[in-house]
Amino acid sequence: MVNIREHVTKKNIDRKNRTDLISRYFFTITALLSASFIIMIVVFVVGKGMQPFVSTSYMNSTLTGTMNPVNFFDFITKEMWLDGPVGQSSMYGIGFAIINTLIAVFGAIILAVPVAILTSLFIAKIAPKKLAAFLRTIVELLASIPSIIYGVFGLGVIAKFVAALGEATGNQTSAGLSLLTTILVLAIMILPTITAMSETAIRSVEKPIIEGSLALGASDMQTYFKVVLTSAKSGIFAGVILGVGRALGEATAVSMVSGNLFSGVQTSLFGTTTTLTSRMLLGIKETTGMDYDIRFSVGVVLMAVIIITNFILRVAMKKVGRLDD
Amino acid sequence: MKKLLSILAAFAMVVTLAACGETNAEEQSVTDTFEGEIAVYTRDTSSGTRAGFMGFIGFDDAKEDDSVLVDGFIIAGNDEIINAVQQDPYAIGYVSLSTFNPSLFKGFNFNGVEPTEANVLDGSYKLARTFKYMIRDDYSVYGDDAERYEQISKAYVAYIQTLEGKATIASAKGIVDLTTGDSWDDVKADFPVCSEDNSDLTVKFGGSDSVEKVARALSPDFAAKCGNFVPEHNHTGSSNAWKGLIGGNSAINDGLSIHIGFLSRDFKDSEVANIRGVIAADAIVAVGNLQNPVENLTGEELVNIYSGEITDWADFK
Repeated sequence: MVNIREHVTKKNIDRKNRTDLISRYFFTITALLSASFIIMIVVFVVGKGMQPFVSTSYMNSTLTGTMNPVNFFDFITKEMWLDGPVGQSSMYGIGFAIINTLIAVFGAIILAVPVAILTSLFIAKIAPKKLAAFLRTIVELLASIPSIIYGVFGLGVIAKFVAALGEATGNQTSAGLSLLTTILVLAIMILPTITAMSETAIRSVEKPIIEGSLALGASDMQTYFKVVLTSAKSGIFAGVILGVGRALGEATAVSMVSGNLFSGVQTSLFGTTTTLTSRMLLGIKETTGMDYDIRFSVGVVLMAVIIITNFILRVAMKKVGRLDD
Repeated sequence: MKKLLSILAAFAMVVTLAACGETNAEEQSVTDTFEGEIAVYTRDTSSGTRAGFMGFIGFDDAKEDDSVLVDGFIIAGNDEIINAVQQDPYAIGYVSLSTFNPSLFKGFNFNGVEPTEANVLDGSYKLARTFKYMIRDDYSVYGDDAERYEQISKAYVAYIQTLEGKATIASAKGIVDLTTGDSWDDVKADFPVCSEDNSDLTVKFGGSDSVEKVARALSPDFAAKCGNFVPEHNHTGSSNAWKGLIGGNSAINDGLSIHIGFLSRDFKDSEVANIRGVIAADAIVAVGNLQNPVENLTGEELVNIYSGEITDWADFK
């Protein structure tokens, strides 16, 4: 027999409290550390991204003088990346890339959401248990594939398909580098994200609701579409928001298939396009001075676009959610 | 459900259309009318190939400025351009001659001259530049070592014309005629200095940074064959070759003073030296798809394509 009371001494209690305290501080420090990275990144990117708009100390490429600061309003509205020679002109513009980014992401969402919802409905409700487990694993695997893999797949397969499609429909493409290719690659990339979230949402729809619908004489399909999907709406929407976030931030794959358009808004599916991320990536390793720092400015604009889009979608989600009541 | 079915039906129609397209394309290639919007590919502004190409065709404004280029041009790396001209029948781009592969894609003749190494070397292919070398006239500043420096410099000039020297230059992507030349073994007897120990001498190379790759490949190769002298490279630009050898910077304690200098442009009238010549060449090829029936492009036509004056291949007939 062990007498527990013997162990409950003041010394032991003190020691336990001390360990508790130390661990608490340790966890706080790690939490602060990871949180501070966000702050460090934002401070660094914003700090560097603001330079081209305020600094007058950029030397031009011939080292004969300094460059004018970039005009912020022109920067976010203009339809050409750079008007004039690199290292001489400071007339940068990113307006066209903002629009092109939104077009590409919107296209990807239009394609991916219906497929993702139907897939998740199949996995959650229709498929036999074993098949559902198998498909769920596949979807999770898809979500973990690095974007460079989607990029080479896009370049090697989707771009060729789009080039053939363009030829068949009388639309010339630049070796398949186009808005359509970008949309398809993005759609494939965000498909698993939306599917996984939707599937969880659909599975968590309470049984009594479904049984109630069936008891009222509705068919399986009527129940799935009119009752299950409606109840899972806000969960599905959360998946869409995550998908939009991933699509907006995707750089590697997009820059491989978009054609990196230099100027203008692209509305033709078979024309080349560009996104904010691929503009940042293009040539960043081979440039210096303002041409380098301006890419951080694009990063700031990208963060702003993501935050604004997220905000709008969240407001929309709340509206959608309210309809459930 | 009906909506869903109609979406599926639309998708099926698109797929069938794509299948039809394959036959259409075959029919098109049989007919001899080649038309379509020119897809213009270019390297980015930091590329030396781009600066060379735009300079050769006479479009200096485009060396560092993308805004003067045709709308919808595509920035691509060397490999991406090679990839694009194989897949895109309407593409045009440019690559260095060392990466040009006539069995995979087309190299346009420039002003009627075919892009071959032979045409580069005889000077008829003008989308090219030759790399020049130059050595000192006067070694007296080196005192006791003057004779050895002079002999090593002259041996270097002889070495770059031997088969071994040319093979080294070719390995660094310089274009040389590998079919002619003596073996180093046959000429080294003329340079007794190379059989001595020269490890106490520092031989300085400088001038054009475009030639740096070739020069840096040659140095260790030749040093091993010529008494293990210590090579030192300081490539600062073509103009500093003559200045560091004969001109104002040739004094022994000057930072720009060198023994062997290189230029990636033609000699200026003022840049006279007793021993100077061509070490290798570098050429760029305007490339397109093998389906493209256009064979020849002039500098003016290339400028018009890259500036957007000409936008359709139908204009070449």
